[in-house]
Amino acid sequence: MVSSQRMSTAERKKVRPSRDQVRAWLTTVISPLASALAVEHHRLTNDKGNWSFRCDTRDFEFFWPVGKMIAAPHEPNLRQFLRYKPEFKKLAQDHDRALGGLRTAARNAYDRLLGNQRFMALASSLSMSENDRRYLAEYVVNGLRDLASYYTFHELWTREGRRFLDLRKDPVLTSEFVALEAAGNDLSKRVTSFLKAIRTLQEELADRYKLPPVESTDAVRV
Amino acid sequence: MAERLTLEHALRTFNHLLFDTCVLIDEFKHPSGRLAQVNREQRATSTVAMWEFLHVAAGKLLPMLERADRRDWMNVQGIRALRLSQDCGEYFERLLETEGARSLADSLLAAECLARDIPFATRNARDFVAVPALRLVEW
Repeated sequence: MVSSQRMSTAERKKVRPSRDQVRAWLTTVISPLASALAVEHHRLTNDKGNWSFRCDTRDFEFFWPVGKMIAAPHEPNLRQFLRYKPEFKKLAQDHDRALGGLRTAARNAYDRLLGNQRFMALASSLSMSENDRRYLAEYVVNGLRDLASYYTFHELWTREGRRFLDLRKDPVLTSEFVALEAAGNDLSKRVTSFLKAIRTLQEELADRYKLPPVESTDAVRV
Repeated sequence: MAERLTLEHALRTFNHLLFDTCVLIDEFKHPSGRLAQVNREQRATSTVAMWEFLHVAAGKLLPMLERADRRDWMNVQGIRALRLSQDCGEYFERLLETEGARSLADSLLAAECLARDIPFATRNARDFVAVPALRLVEW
């Protein structure tokens, strides 16, 4: 009767994790999640509106699905952690769902821009190739006002960026950017609650099990 | 001879992937999207590659603004710069008697990967194929 001997998910949840399990969670799951979520939180609050959307991938550079925040060989630790802490499973799912919503909104805005008559006319007036136009659309999606001097389009964007950014207020495009903003606000809320919960848990587990919240590292400070 | 690995296999098997300088520069300037495939916690490089990343030819430091942006980018991307390990020296010495990598910096990067038993991600795989037992991921 193997099935009756095997612990059910509900029973397992009630069992207190061992010190070794908690140590592994802190090192391989909780600390990486806290680090990645802190980056997302900083980006969503201090660099608001710059989604780090990239035209080459049609995805974000600085927002990650939860599964990508931790090392792949440690995925079983994440799964175990979420089995023991189902409230975090919901936070993780909410995060990834909101990220998916933001991705869809950013892609919609980007695609609509590329096909927009005013955008095409502006790009044509600057003799931009089809390929290079993608970067200008990316900057508009990210609401980028300044482009660092070492970027290829620095001068062009300094000169013409404002005209492209005005497209965000074009009546035929504005709904896309309103939707993008709303999706960003939703992700921001999810990230804030997830980060708060994970930091609280990090402190609680580390204190209760007398473990360091993060392991020392042999990496130099970048 | 070095062993070639797919990115997926390397990520499933090893805790870290060590990025060559060319990968850092290219992904900073023109993100290819491949970096997004690497789990944030597995992104690593060496202080040797970081030195190159922050300098231009002839060892001259990049302008302060770009240097700060590059450091910030590494932090946000979660790319940790691993210290030269104790065993790196030993592996480096072993490379003295081989065709090895093509430059001093490349040899140190290869030695670090061998010492830590982690794969090396580079766009210049052909420069490293002669390094025995090195695990290579073509970027």
